[in-house]
Amino acid sequence: MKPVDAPQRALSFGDHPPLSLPLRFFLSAPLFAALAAGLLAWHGAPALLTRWSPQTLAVTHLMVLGCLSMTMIGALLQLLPVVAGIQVPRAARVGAVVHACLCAGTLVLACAFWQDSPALFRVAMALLPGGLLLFVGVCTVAMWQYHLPGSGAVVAGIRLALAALVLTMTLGGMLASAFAWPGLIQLPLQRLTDLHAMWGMLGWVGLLVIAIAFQVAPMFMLTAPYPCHLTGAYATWMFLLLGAVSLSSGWSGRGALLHTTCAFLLAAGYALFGATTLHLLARRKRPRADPTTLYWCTAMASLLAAIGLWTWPSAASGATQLALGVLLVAGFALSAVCGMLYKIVPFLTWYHLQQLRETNGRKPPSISQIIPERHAQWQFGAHAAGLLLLLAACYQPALARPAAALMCAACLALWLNLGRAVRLYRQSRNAPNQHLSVPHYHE
Amino acid sequence: MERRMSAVLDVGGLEPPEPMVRILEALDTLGPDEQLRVLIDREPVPLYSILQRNGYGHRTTAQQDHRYEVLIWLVPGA
Repeated sequence: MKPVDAPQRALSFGDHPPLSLPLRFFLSAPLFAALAAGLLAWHGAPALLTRWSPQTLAVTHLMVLGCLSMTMIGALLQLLPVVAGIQVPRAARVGAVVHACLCAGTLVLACAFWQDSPALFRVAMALLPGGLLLFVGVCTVAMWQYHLPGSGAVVAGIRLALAALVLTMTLGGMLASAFAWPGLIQLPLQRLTDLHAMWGMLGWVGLLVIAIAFQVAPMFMLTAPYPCHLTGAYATWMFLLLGAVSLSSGWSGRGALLHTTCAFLLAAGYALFGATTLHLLARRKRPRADPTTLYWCTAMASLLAAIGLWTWPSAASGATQLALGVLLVAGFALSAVCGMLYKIVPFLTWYHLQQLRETNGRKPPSISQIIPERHAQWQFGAHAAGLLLLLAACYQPALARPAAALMCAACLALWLNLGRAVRLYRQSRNAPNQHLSVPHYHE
Repeated sequence: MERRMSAVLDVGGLEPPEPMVRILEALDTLGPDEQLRVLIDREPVPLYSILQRNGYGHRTTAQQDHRYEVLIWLVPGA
């Protein structure tokens, strides 16, 4: 038994960042997702004919930057202190700046794609890397500190995910420069786009979901801990495979064989994670089909379906490419993010209400009252139906409008559900002090 | 100061914030010469600032089975 004295000296138990810090990220995300879906609904079938159309690119980036990255960055600013005992320096101020850059930059980038405007691309190239590099820099500084002994796997995974984010951003910057200064430099656009998408989805999003899953699944979904072979060097191997696939992507002959092998190993690695998570969810002692569990089952099933689809012989067809995108972005990533939001937002709200109790004496409501499960289940149903319709729309573009409209409604419903927690917190904060005697909680 | 162990509270397998709720409820009845022993699945970092603000001391020890034991007591003069 080792006394864990060091964390108590290293951590400064100063006040946690205010609730507005993570919530501004978590409440913007569903709005961006709704905007993406709304844009898709407006354009309809033409936006789903190919993944190269400007409308598709605008929709995709609204989703991956405005919703997925937004949530993940907000979650990291909150999770690093809670899970790893790491204090992010000036979290509130940094968070505000990062959030503003991410919101503005994403909107500008989406407009840039939509309007094909080199000037807007230049503005986006200033805003997005600025905000993201600030975030990565602050996290890197924070993670050089001591972290709690039990959090090694999570911190290592987060480091790799952040490295992947930097690579994604660099590739994105190179691609944007081709739009911002057309004709200035000749770049292999197709190859860079594929790499950018791969590092973005499998590196930044994928590795971060994996790292967080190791904590979130046992903590919030009460699964058994993940097996050691996943929480050890697995994430590093996946990162190295991503690197190998990237470097070998232009090679021919034996190089192409290496490329294909590494790609298959990468797919197998992700399949292992997806299957293990489903297995852990199925074997819980007290299985409950709460919304988070439903979302994570959907996420893992989508991941496995995407891998299956990728290995299918017709993987090169345009419709399949789109379906892969839908499965990974809306199926895997968005579902995982929604599931997490339904646990993190009520918990954070409860925790800050608990802190308020020390001054106003009001006991916080039970966690299940903060976001009623019924509402969350309905919202999940809309999301699942929208996802299935979107998948069908990849093969039947006529379904694009109804699919996107349903998805938009689902995202707005998510925003409303999460907003309940905010309203509850504001009501409690503004309520007159109750002079209850609460023996151990007065100053 | 030699403290009596008032209770052992095992909050494993509970969904947040249930562990914290149970710990805080148990602390309501903790005497000045007692300490509470909590067994928990992960280090309860959000709890520490609540404990510190309300005049409790704590010591956390990692266990062999990857769980944590947290000892909590009232700091005299708080």
